[in-house]
Amino acid sequence: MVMVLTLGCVLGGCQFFSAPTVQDQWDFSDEDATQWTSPNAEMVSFADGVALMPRDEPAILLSGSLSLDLRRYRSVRVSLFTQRPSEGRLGLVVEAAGGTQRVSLPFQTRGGRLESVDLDLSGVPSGVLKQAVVVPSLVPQPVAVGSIDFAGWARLHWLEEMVSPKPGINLALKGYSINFVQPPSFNGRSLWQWLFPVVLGLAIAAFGLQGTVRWKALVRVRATQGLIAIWVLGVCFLIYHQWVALSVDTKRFGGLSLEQAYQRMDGGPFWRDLRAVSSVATPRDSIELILHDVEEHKGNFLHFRAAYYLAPVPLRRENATLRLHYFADVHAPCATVEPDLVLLEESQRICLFRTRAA
Amino acid sequence: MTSLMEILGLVSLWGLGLLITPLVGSFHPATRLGMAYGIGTVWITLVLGAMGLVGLPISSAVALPAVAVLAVLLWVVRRWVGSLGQPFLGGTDAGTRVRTATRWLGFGVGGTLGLLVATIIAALTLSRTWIRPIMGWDVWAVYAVKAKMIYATEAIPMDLLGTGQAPNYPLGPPIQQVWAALIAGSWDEAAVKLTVWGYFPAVFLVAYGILQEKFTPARAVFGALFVGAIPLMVQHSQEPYTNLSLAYFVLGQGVALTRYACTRSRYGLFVAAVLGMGAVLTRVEGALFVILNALLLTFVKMPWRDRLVYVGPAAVVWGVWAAVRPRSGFETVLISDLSMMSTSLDRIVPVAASFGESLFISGNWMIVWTLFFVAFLLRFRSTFEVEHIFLVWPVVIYLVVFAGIFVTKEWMYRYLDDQTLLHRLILHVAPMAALWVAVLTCAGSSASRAIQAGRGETTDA
Repeated sequence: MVMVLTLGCVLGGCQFFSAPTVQDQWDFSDEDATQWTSPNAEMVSFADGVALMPRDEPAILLSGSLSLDLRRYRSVRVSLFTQRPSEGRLGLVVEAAGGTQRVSLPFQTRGGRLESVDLDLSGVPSGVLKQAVVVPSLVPQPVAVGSIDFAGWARLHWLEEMVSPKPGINLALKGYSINFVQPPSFNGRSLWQWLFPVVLGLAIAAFGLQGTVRWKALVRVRATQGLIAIWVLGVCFLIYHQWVALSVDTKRFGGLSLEQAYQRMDGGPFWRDLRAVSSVATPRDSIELILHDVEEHKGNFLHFRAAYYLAPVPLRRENATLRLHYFADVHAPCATVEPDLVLLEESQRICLFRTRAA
Repeated sequence: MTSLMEILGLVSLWGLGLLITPLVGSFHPATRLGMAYGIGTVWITLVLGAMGLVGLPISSAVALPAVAVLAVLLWVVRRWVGSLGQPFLGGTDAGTRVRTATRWLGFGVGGTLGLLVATIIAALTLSRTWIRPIMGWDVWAVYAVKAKMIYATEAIPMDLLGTGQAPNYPLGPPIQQVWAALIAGSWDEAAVKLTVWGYFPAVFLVAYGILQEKFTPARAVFGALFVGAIPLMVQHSQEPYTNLSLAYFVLGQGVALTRYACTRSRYGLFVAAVLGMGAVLTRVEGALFVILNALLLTFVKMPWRDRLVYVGPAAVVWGVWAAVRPRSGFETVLISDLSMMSTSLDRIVPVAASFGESLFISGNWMIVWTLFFVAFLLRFRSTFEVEHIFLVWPVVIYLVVFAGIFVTKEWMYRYLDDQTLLHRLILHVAPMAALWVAVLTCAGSSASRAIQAGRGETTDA
């Protein structure tokens, strides 16, 4: 573990990217599904759509404290993104009968896309998993980690997620998730991949056997029934995921006022701050938004949100009548930020200046 | 009270559509109800859009009465068309519908279960629409920002397009959201999102009516679920993009043109023209389907006047949109798209692989598309018949066209690994493909049962 950590730090700097969604999926022993909304609520909320965004530097994903009985599991799947092909590591700290042992599982990534890596746990000592570390790439490059799933009997990854207290989190959190419902996975292949030849055969039987001969008619009926059965199975999966996604949404936003919901989503009182700006701006104004101390992917997110909150005052990249500086952290007095411009509004996180008349 | 007004915004779209749905003619009542939603949204978009263009304020005080008065006028016109326009529109084929077409009950155990599933799906997605605030990503954010600006300024500002990331997206969805906000009395996120949710029952009803005209209610329910439930669950409930909306308009056009081609009653043609406008108002790709359908109308040798009736309204909408966009500093879609073409052929294999993966290894889509392409190959000749051509060929050509766009357009190719884009594009034709499959499957199953029932008439080869 130390070796992996040290290696990662040397090569890419110690960027501990704590992704709550991943921790949640590890935390199988947690029976309270509401816990994940706190105390990491802001972190999780901000993870809407950015959990899979690549970072500009190598990232190491650290787990929190775990208590996972590895005897129940045969494999682990890491879903991650690397820009270029590379070698990575999954480090495990296992409390076995002979004491604490550290295991490093290497893997290769093809790069350029989100991909899943299945790692066999047969060589890992039996015991309780206490900690895990993912190093997606041993060379500096943008990386991201999507999820980590442990699989037991028959390598059913999806079912492990189903029996965990927080299944469907990815589906619920990603606003852009489309048809990304994970089916059960057998030996590294999704259920749909296994079923495709079956469906193809049934489809050929259903449409290819024509005529009034009795056996053909019977095969046709059975093939159709088989297709309907598979379809019903898929609908059940989807309904289940939607139900879980709804429960996640309810826990996150149920009973909250709009301001509270926005605050949870933005990871801060962004909406309230921008409302103060709106009260100063006129519809003839336009605003140039400059974010300080905000990571790039979060900056894109906040630009989207700002455009929505500030409407009808439009956001402009340049030549705007107002310039808004937004500080995620403590900032210098506004008068020193843009000394040549007229200061309109100053608060804990914002400095609003007029650049020219509307 | 707030919830009531939010629902009223949704229901009002149906109400307005129902005012003119008798023009739908001989369709099953469920199909007419389903089409009413699309007709209502088109009506709202045209009226509010025209108000914005001529400079009238899009406010509660002006827009709501204007829409209501014009709707009444439309109702009068509808009555007039119903009597005077009969020679042009032609007769209906109500008398030829099978007896089960008018039966709403008699679902049986299977059909009741199917309805229960549909209700659960609708409830799940509706609840998420209500609970989840606007997340602010991608197209939805662009639309919502535009709608909020129109609502706040009570006008369609000329610099509106410059505020979003996707200036080439038409203003249909934002204007419909503005309508919902006007009814709700404030900028209400649940209300504006409900307008998108409404496309699920609309798709379901259109498909149910078409299937129920030929098959039992139970089969029609399952077929309608096959058509409408999957796209809704995999897309709409996540975040209301506009892909399901376009899929609805594509499906509606296919159904309406099939009816027109089979019966020569121009009621279907009229509805197809309205829904064609809806497609063009919803997304840029909508124009592609109108062009494809016009070509198919030519192929089946429909009169040029009828083709003009179908293409004309959509062409006018597209023309107005193309004329407005340059005033905001943007080129027309055609010019900007052609400027980004490249001729690299080494992308064919990865594009084909990604399309194959998206079509055949994605949950229930695997069943839809496998059945569709197997049926397409095995029943190739019948795909040119008027009962099938408007349901099959727009799907096939659209997929080929978009595969070609992925190959030839650099910026699209870069999104190839982002399967969300590919899935959303495929979604545009998924319900129509599923409807064709459902019709064939139900028909095959019915024939098989008939054969089984009359065993004495069948013989082994």
